[in-house]
Amino acid sequence: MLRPSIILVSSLLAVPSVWAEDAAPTTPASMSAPAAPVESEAQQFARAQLMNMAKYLSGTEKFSVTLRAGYDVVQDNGQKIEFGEIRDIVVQRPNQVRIEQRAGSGGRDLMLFDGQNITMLDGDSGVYAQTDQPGDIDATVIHFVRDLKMRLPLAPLFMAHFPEELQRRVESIEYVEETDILGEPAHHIAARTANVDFQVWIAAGKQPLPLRVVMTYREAEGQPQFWASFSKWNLSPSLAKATFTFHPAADAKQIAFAAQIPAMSNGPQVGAMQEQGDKP
Amino acid sequence: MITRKQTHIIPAVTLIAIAAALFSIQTVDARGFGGGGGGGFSREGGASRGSFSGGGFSGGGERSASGSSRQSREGSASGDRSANQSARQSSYSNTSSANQAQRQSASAANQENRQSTSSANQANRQQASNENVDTRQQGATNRQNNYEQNNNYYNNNYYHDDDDWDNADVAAGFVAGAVVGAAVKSASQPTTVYTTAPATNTVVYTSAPTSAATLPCAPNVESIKGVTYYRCGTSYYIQAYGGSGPIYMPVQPPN
Repeated sequence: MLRPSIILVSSLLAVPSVWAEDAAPTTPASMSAPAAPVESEAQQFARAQLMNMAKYLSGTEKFSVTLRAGYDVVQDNGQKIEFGEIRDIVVQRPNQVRIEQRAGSGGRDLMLFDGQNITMLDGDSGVYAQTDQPGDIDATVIHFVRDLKMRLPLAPLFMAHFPEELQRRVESIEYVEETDILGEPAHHIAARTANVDFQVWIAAGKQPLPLRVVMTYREAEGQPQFWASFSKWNLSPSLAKATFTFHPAADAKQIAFAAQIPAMSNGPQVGAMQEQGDKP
Repeated sequence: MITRKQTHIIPAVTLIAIAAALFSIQTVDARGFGGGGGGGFSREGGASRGSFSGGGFSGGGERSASGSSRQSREGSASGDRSANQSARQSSYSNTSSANQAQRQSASAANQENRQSTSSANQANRQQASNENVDTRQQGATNRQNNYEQNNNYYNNNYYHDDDDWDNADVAAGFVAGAVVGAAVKSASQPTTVYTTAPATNTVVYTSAPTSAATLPCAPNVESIKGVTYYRCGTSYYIQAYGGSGPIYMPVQPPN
């Protein structure tokens, strides 16, 4: 149950939405201006909480957090298998990010944005890839995900433009409930983007931080989910220079990012490409 | 009594031994399941990327050997989406009335919609397949343009022009070229231009090698001009960092 005072404040804080395509029109069809969607007080409250969280996080100079995540992988036979990972994340704005990942299979990786380079280290083999990327976190995240085709779950969350990234994606939003099931009071919010349903639990206290996220790829085959639980939030971590410095081992081998290598795996090959002959 | 007691003890011991054996087998299986490359299960899929912009992912650069087939399936699903959405909306309109006759009509309409959707899906898949071929063929020449556009994009700090930057379904090709001869050079400062195979009158059509976390053979390792190549028969691979870890990518034979 939402208190009227909260709803009033949230209504004032709510950012006007232009995303809900299926909202009921409020103007005659003959008018050229698109109809403004009408959100209920609960929806406005939910949107305000979501944006408040995004603004709070994007305005945080530095933070560390641990992410325990899982995701479904729909196999070719339709069977859905869940894999998991733990990510220890450190962010120092404007341009530094360090993520240590432990996969469910035991593998460990390091991702490092140091303001000048992007570095990925495979802890199992010791090989690493590095490429120039001077710029802030936003530009680096985009380059990393879009151009290098690397995996970075919840990538917008690291960005200074996190509020804008959310705002332009969220087409509809609902307030589910206030709950303390995660150990502290939290707003449970459900939203939809063009092709992803996501739920987020946001701490209801003075620090509106995300506690849990569940994303459902409703249009993907099998409707797989990605989920993540946040813990160990620290908004004033003590960070040393070494936190964002990469020192490869003496025998470490550097390789390129796969996206930087022209693919040749499709279509007929030109030249003396024969069938592989020495398979074991 | 004693006999009966003994007959109880023996099965109990036997059961314990069997249980221990079964547990041992299950433990071994479980370890192989997770530690040995997922026990044959694909580890990458749309949801693994945790993106707000869709469940697609790039088949290239992923560890999974079956990534390309799954990507294809997701591409089909993308085609299904719009048709299905239209069908759902139409169905919703048709069923909004409380009238039983209208509901029956809606049911018939749904049936037609499903059939129509099925046909549309097939057409979409074929179209997607054709587009993929075109995309691959055009990819080489478009990459340099993409690179230049990306450079402008970052220089202008105007990333909102690209709303789909984290949607692998629509991610633009990026490869600036140039890393086989200088595998560790920055993508933003390519110094060696990768060249396609020299023109020849001999065209041999083979099954194309694919990227994977492991090589299809015990390779011959060759270091040529500072680049480590892994050769399986006449196929050459180099190791590269894919979306979720190191993989081996097929490349043109070194000159």
